[in-house]
Amino acid sequence: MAAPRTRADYDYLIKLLLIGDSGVGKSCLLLRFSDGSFTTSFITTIGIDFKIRTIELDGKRIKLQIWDTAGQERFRTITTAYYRGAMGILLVYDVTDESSFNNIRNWIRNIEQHASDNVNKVLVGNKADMDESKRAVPTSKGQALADEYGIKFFETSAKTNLNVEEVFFSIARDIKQRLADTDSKAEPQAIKIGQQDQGDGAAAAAQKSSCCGA
Amino acid sequence: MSGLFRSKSCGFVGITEFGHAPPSPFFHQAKTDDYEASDEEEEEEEFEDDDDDDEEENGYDGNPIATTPFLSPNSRFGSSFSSSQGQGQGQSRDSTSKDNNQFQFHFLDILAALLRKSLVTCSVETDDVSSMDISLPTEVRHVSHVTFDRFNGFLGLPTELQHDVPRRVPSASASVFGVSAESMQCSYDDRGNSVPTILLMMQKSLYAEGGLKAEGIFRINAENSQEEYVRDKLNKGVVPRGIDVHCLAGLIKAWLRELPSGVLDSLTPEQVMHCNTEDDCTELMKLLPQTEAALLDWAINLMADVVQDEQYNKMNARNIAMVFAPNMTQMADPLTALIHAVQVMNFLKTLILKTLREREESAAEDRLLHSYSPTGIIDVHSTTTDSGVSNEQVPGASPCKEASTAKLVRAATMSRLECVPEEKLWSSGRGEGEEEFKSISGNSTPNACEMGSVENECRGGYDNKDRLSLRKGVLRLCRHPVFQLSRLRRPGISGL
Repeated sequence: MAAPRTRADYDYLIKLLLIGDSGVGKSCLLLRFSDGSFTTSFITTIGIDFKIRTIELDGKRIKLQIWDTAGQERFRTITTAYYRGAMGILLVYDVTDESSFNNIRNWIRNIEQHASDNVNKVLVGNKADMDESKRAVPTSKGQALADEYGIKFFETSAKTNLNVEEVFFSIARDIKQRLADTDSKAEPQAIKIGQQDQGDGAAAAAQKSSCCGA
Repeated sequence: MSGLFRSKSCGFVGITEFGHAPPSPFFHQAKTDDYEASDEEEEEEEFEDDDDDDEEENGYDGNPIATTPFLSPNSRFGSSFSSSQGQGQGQSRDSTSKDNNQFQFHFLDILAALLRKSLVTCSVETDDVSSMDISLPTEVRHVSHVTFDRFNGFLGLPTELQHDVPRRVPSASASVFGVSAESMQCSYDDRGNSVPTILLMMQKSLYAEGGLKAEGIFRINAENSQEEYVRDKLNKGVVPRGIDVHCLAGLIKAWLRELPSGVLDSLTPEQVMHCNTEDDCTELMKLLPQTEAALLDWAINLMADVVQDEQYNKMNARNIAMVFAPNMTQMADPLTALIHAVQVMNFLKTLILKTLREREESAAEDRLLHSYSPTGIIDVHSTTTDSGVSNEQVPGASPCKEASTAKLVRAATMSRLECVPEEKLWSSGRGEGEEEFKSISGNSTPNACEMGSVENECRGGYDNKDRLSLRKGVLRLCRHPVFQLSRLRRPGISGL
């Protein structure tokens, strides 16, 4: 792994992307995670924005570079350009807004089109603090969708700081694990390369280069 | 067999010659004799030669409909066969003994028959085509002038024909989205902006469904599948009922986004960037072409309506401007588009805030005004009462004239289009009967067009305020020197 050797302040640089419909709380999640604050003001993201937070995980310093995208339709052509380099994608919906949940499938299709094949994904149902009467998507439904795609699922609240750390730590851990695996595989790879996980190896190489480039 | 050939060739020559000059029978006889003398097996080749000759003779002036089908074997045999069956054969045999006039007459028959057959055989290719008979229309007369309206169907169609037209009229354009505003059916909004009817219908529907009070209106995405369904319906000219407000809002944005060119595309990014003050923005707005200016004014007022309900929908001027901005311009390069969107956002925000301030001012002005008037409440039906009050205020006005004005205003409720010039006429005739004009216009404008009145009804809470702002707009307009001479298409903008 080139990145940890060249830079002293972290062992891994992980690039994450927040996507989902407009108004589901992507920016609020990010603000909560990076600054520990929450704002009730209703600010729409213009284009793309990113924040950085370095966390420690299993004795490794991991620098998380989190990109917050605008959910507005018009910006989708712009935001998809940022999918390519992402190592992890947080698919966010609003538990009080069923259409934002139903659109998750479109977002996943979008990822399949524009992102790297091995990108880690996690499904996030935000605004879980909301009153049960306002809830439109039951937890079971979210879990079912996550199971269908074989990804992890969390219900969060940026407002009450419910599960926010957990989501980011979870995906960071999975990506770190993936990177560590490919890293350790890198040396004996020369022998193994002819075998069935050749595709994986190539993808990992691409992953590494994007990591260094970032 | 020879007769068959002769008749065909004769008819054929006849066609091409006919369009050119009255043919000499001897010339044709000589020609057909040539064919008879020639070997039958060379017929096809000669036929083509003949075709070439004709083209030379006529300088390619020959009837293309009649000649071209003969080049295809099918139609050629068809025609030769049928002409031998029909009267053509006998006529061509006797043609030499007839006088010139008759000859021409028969040629006309043959020509008609061949034309008919060649046209029919192109598509039918059967032998019994001679049984079909299509004549030219006779006794044509003009019954009525019918226009096509995308949403209302055929206008001016005589009642006896109406049941022949299916209820669901076909669309004049292929779709509603991605089509320029010029090519669409337009209507006037309550500010006199000519905007596509589809936008007004969506707006009306949005207001009626309480969209202005929905949190995050214009920001929240609708479900993709529903949006596609509604879009499909709209493309067919149907506005479905009970659509989700976010879907409607999303489609309004999509409509603007998918225009062949963006509403603000005629402005350069530099122009927008250097537009810092409110006056700059107003000036810039005047540079827009008429259609775009009307669309922008309509959109700004829509956004202002949203902001007025901010306590419910949480959309302030910045937010609503932000979600509209990227839809107002089209830029190929995403990064430039992004930077430009921020500038457009500021431009829109300034205009929204200006509109809101003006609405407030006019509301305040109106409150002042009506504190003197016994009938402070504005009601559509209080036209005569208001007029009466103002009549007392202006001594010069005669009651007779007043009554006619009231009538005039009532008539104006039929359509906004007529409403404005009538008001103008009236105001210029009255000179500075401004006080009076206010009360009349205040009553006439809200119900000026059906769309406008319904919108106002839907606005509920600030219904009155809105009407007042309208009134003020019209007032300002009339004070403007330009409007004393001619009516502008966009009173709202110029009046600002």
